[in-house]
Amino acid sequence: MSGKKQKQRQVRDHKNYDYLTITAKVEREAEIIASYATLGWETVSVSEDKKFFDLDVIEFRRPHKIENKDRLQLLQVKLETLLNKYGVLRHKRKAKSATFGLVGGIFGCIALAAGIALLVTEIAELAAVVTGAIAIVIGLAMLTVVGVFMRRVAETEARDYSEKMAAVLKGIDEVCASAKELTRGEK
Amino acid sequence: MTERKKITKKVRRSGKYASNDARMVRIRTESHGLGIFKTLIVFLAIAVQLAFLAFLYIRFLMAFRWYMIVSLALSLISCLHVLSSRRNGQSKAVWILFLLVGFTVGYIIYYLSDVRVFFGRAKKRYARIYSETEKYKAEKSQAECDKSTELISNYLESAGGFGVCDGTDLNYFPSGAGFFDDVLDRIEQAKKFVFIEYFIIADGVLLNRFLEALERKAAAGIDVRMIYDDLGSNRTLRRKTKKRIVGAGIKLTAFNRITPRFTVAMNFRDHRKIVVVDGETAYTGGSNLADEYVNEKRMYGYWKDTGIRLDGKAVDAFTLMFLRQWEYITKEKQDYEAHLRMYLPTENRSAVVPYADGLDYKEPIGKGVYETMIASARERIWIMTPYFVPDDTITDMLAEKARSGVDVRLILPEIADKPYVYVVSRDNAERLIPAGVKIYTMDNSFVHSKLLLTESNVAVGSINMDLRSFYQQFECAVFTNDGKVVGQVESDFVLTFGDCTLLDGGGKYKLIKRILAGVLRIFAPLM
Repeated sequence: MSGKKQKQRQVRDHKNYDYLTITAKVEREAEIIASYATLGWETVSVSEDKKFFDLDVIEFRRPHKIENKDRLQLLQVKLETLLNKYGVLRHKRKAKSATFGLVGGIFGCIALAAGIALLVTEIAELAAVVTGAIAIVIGLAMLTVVGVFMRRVAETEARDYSEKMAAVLKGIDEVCASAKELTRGEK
Repeated sequence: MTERKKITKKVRRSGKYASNDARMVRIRTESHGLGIFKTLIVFLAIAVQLAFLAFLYIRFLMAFRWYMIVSLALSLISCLHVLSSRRNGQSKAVWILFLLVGFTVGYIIYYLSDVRVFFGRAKKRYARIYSETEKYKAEKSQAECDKSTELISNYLESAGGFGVCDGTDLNYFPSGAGFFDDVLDRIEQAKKFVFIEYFIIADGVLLNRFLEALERKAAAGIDVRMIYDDLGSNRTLRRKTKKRIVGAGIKLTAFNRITPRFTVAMNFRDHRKIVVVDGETAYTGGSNLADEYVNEKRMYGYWKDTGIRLDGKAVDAFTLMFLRQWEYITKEKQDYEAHLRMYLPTENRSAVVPYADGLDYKEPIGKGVYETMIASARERIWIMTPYFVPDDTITDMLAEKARSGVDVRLILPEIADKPYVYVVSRDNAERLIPAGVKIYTMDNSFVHSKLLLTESNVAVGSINMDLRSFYQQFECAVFTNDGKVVGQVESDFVLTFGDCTLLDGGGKYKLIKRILAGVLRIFAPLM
């Protein structure tokens, strides 16, 4: 069925309801739907995004006239900000250690490769041999350092981000709790 | 099967990709991209005209070198004219800089920007309309005024002829959603006429709700009229919707149509927000007729806006404002008597003064009201504004009041809609912190309210605290000492403070921002 035909079927009652359409990460979809439910939104439909496999399109609706609508609208923005902050933190969680590993590894490999190349091609030249040897030592040292410290960097980073993500999740819970209190009277 | 494997299988089947966006949630906001083509054509046409003028001028300069000396002399004379003019200090500084740096063309642009050149005929037309409709203004009332209310009311009377009304009930709305729901409910009860005037009227859910109601009213023979600003609504109101409106029997007209012709008059816009129903009820405030103002479209976080409803004697002032503007735009004589004196006076003895501002008035009345309110405040001055780009008078007064112990607080948005204005706004505001002014930004929000609250008075309307609103736009607002509204506004402020962050004037990149703000401040009169 084409999108237009689908739309014609799902006629929206804008007089009595407000509608909201979001794209959400599939892996957290259940939690996201539950969070919006605390704000009074009921799920109308869930469908796959046309371009991205890890996103779903979710349509919600809510009665147009509800108590505490202003506060709920503000809480919704806070919720969305926190959800996206969580997503960004999750995405950046291993960025530092990965960059450290990647950069260190690349330079280490370059030094190692350069040293080996010099040894192999310029074996007759003493200066080249010495330079090559030094380059190999540096390369190996860099790779060793990266190997040893990358784990430590990753552990520290994971701890830091876990704390930040836990704080964000706590914020999300608080927003949902506040929203539940406001919508309690509606049920 | 793990989630990752399931997703991988899905990828192979569907050929879709993983999104690069780390965000968990994205709001699907419709964007029509309306009017871009029209805007581009207009800008292109103006650019071509300016390029042609520049070409001719350069040829002239090259042919007559002595003209450089003449143009320098004329620019210096223009500088003297600027200094002796009634412009605000900031505007004078900018003009003098421009005249001296661009002395070959500066004086030409200076004189062409004079309101008397591009707006002279319009001003005469307004003056004629106002003099002919002077008799329809409300009679003076015996409203209850304390000293500060009397001071500000006297200013409004002498500067713009706006009389104090009593016999008016008011209600304040701390959000666009609640405000427009009330407007729609009132429109459903309309029996005689509905007048609507907005800077922005935008296609969307809110406008559809309005049109469904207005179409029914128009079909029932009720006089329904809408004014929109052609620049404000340029990219938001489709031609198809305009046809629908006109086809339904609703009278629709645009203020100051955009033309592909270079004229400084394009800068003068109708920023008012007015709804009048049956001459009995009027509304004004900060909200435009668009989905983002009721948070049904996400643009800049949570959209904080406000509005006020009037029932009673003061409604006539808004009816008069609207009809005068309608007569100016359409050049058709209006039957004022048929639309005035229809209100039902109430027992309320509070002072209510609806007022307008614009190039049709000699004084910048909106600015004058803010200044007078600030000057007369003894206990508190609480302000909510999306932009804080006033001239030095207001910033100096706020600093002095804070230093003398008055509780001065300013709420700005945390999220900017115009980054270049926001940089200057934040810089202006943060400069007041050492004087004791408390500056707040509302978290995750764009504050669009235009509010000034003192201990006993409040001004609510469309007037931003910036030079554009003071000098270049048609505005409207209500000033009142009504206890109920003062209390409602106070509660709104207190609740909003809880959602704000108090600034301490520090922060990263302070020096860079100061330099940037200094450069952008040159264009402040245009912001």
